[in-house]
Amino acid sequence: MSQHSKRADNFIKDEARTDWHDKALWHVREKRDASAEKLPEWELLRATASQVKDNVLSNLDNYLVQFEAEAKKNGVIVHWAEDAADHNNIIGEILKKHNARKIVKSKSMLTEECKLNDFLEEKDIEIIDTDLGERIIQLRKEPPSHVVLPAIHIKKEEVGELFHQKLGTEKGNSDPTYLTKAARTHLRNKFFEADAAITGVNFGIAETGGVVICTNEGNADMGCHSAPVQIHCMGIEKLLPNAEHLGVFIRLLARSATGQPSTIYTSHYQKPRPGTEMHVVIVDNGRSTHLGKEDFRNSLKCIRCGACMNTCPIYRRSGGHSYHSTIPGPIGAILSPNKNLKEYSDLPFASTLCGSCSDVCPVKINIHEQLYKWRQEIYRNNELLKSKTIPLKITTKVFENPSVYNSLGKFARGSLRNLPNFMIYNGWNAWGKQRDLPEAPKEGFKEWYKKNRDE
Amino acid sequence: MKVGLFVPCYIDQFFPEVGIATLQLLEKHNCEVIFPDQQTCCGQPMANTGMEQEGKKIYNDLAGLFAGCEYIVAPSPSCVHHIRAHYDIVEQTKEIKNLRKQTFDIVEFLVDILKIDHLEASFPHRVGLHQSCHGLRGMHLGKPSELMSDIPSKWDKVLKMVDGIDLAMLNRADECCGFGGTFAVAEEAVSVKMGKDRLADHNSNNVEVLTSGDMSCLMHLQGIAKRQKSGPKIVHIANILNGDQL
Amino acid sequence: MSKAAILERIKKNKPELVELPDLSVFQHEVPQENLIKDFIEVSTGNMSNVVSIIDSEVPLQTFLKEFIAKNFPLATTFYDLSRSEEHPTEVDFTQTPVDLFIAEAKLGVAENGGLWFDDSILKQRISTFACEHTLMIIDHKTIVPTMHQAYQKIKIAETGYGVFIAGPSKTADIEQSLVVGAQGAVSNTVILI
Repeated sequence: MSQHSKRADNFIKDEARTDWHDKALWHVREKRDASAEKLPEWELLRATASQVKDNVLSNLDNYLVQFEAEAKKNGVIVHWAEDAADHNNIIGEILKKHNARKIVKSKSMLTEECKLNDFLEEKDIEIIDTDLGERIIQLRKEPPSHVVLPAIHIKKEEVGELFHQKLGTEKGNSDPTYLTKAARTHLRNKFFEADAAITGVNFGIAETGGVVICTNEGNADMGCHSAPVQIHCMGIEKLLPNAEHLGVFIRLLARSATGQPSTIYTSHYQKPRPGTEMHVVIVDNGRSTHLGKEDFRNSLKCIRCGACMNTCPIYRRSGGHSYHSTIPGPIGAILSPNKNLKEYSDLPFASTLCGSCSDVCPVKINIHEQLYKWRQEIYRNNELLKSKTIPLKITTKVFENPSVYNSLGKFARGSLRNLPNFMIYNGWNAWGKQRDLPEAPKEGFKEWYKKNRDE
Repeated sequence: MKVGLFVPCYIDQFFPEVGIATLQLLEKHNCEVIFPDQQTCCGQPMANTGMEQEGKKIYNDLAGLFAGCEYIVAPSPSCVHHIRAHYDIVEQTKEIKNLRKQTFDIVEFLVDILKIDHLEASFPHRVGLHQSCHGLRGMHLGKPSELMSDIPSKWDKVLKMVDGIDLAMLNRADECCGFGGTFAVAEEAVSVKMGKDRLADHNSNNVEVLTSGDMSCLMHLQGIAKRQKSGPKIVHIANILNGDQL
Repeated sequence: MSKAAILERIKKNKPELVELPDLSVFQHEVPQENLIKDFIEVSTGNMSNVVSIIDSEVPLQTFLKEFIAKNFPLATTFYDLSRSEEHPTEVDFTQTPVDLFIAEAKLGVAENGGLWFDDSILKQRISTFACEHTLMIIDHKTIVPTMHQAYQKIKIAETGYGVFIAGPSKTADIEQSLVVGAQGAVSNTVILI
């Protein structure tokens, strides 16, 4: 069994919980549908966003140079990080310069990717994730299971118990309002004590040198406007050419993610406030190499809305952690093999290729086609399990030889009253665990045709 | 009109009645049907597992068999979609080009090429349609629920021509059944859970007969229903359109 | 060093230039009465309390005084940016809890209820996030249909910081249950003038 299938198998053992998880995410998908339906121009918006991102990827070097120049004019300090280690060291240096020991961070998949929290904690620097969902999983010492809904896999009773232990809330109280208020009080103090604030970036604007961050809680703003140093970590692919392009993307992002017409806060950071510092760390970490892979480059268009996770029938029934990668779900399954083909060679197979992810994607990434292409790539690199390749090679030989194919089928049915083995890809054991095989018909279509038409 | 009949491997081996209904449907609509006996498979099982390079001979052989046909028709959107979308890895010979361009699913062929407006068929049952993913999202035989564009359903169109049919609305109109080729065995737990959930949706909407254009999805759903000893009867759409009775 | 290497790889690996699409297709007009209706509906959906005094003759400051006395009877500390002639003194929000934030937004967006504030209004960026309650005034004539028009009107390059605020702070991170008042304001009132 592959990593994903093992973890999925384990997840599904609790069927009631699987149903709960599935329904919660399906509900988000339905909210997305209702929101998209209200805009007659929805499909045009998707096509436009896709083309803007194509333009960005095709002119990325120039946009990055322009972004840096404009940001510098605004008094922003810009850094370039080759990889995760580089990114962490740059942040480490900034914090050291300011003798910053207490850090607040708002949601950023990039810092997850770079394992920034581990890096800072090793230096005895306190780093607090301030998005409520992120804080919950941080207290549980778990990675997020979703890019927008990081704690979607956790029940409120579990949050109640966690907060009781860590934040001293009353035992047995799992009322979401009560727990949220407790987190608010806990985090307010963290914001006001913070020596520095770190955020991810939803969009960088080449024309203005600014960054845009979208939240519902206001946690990015609470951090950035309290602390004397604000640091924004941005993947190279996050740029948009001009401010006007934000119109397209802000309209799509929250609607795709949760069905909201926009997040509550859409914050545009251009310049540091007087007496403070603003840094932007531009991070590559494999993206510029990924850009060179023609079949796979357009996954760099992703705006991390999570819609492909909400719609994916496999994700909903196996949970984000079954993907064992920073970004889970369909988009994670095509991004992760770029980083490590061997480690993530199971992920492109965690899909039926149903295509719902591609149709729901606001920037029209051909996710399911890339899943198919990654499978070819994995076979080419000898990373496919022998238990898959050997029976399929035998099946191929049968299909290549019509007379063998015809007689094997006839033989199996005639002599054994059975189904021909080559048709079930050696997977009878797994197939038959919870499913019956069809009954073998007395004669196949070809035999019927010979008798009834081929006179 | 000379039409080549392509009966995919699993239909030939497991569900010959689907091939027979497809053949009879074409004959009823005055097609001159030829059936090359040397056909086997479209190569999708290997390709979806990453081994498309191994399937090149199968692709070329299949194209060669149907070289003389004006149209090629199969009762399986999944196989048709595979031929159209993935036969780009072999040299685009005249035969390959013809196969990719002229191969149709039976429902698509009835609607788009034969442009039928009625059927001699009656099926007085409550029917739930499983919109198989390759037909739905790959070929737009129906409107994917994610898309906000206007795509008329070809499946609905032909089913509505059948007398007495009562089409059920489902809670989730187009969720995948979880078959997915070798996915069905490689990700057994998720695959079966998806199938169970699909069946539960049909059951809760009092579906008596579950139909689809793709027999592979139906084989998976039927396998689960049989094991559970409950659930709707499973019938391919070609059988319903052909007027076959339960 | 990193910069040169990154840019070099991008130059080598990027695809052929793709043109930018035309955005003028999104510039459709919407009658103003619909705009206001949409704005109120969406803002209410975002859990803002919307009060229209568009047709009222009462001067704004008089209205506000009564409204606040009635609706925020317990409020004792204010950060009021609505009277342009007298700016509030600087507040250390990290030390001092403030009950009510009051300011007039520059522009509103009908499709999502977003209200635009930038540095020219927000003397202290933290103010609108740190105050317990927010009261936002919006001139109905400044409401635009969508974000496309909004970005044509606002000039983000000319400000240090700007934000669209579409309601009170909220979260649904615990079992998808909506809770208002996550990190920012716990309530938001919109006064349409």
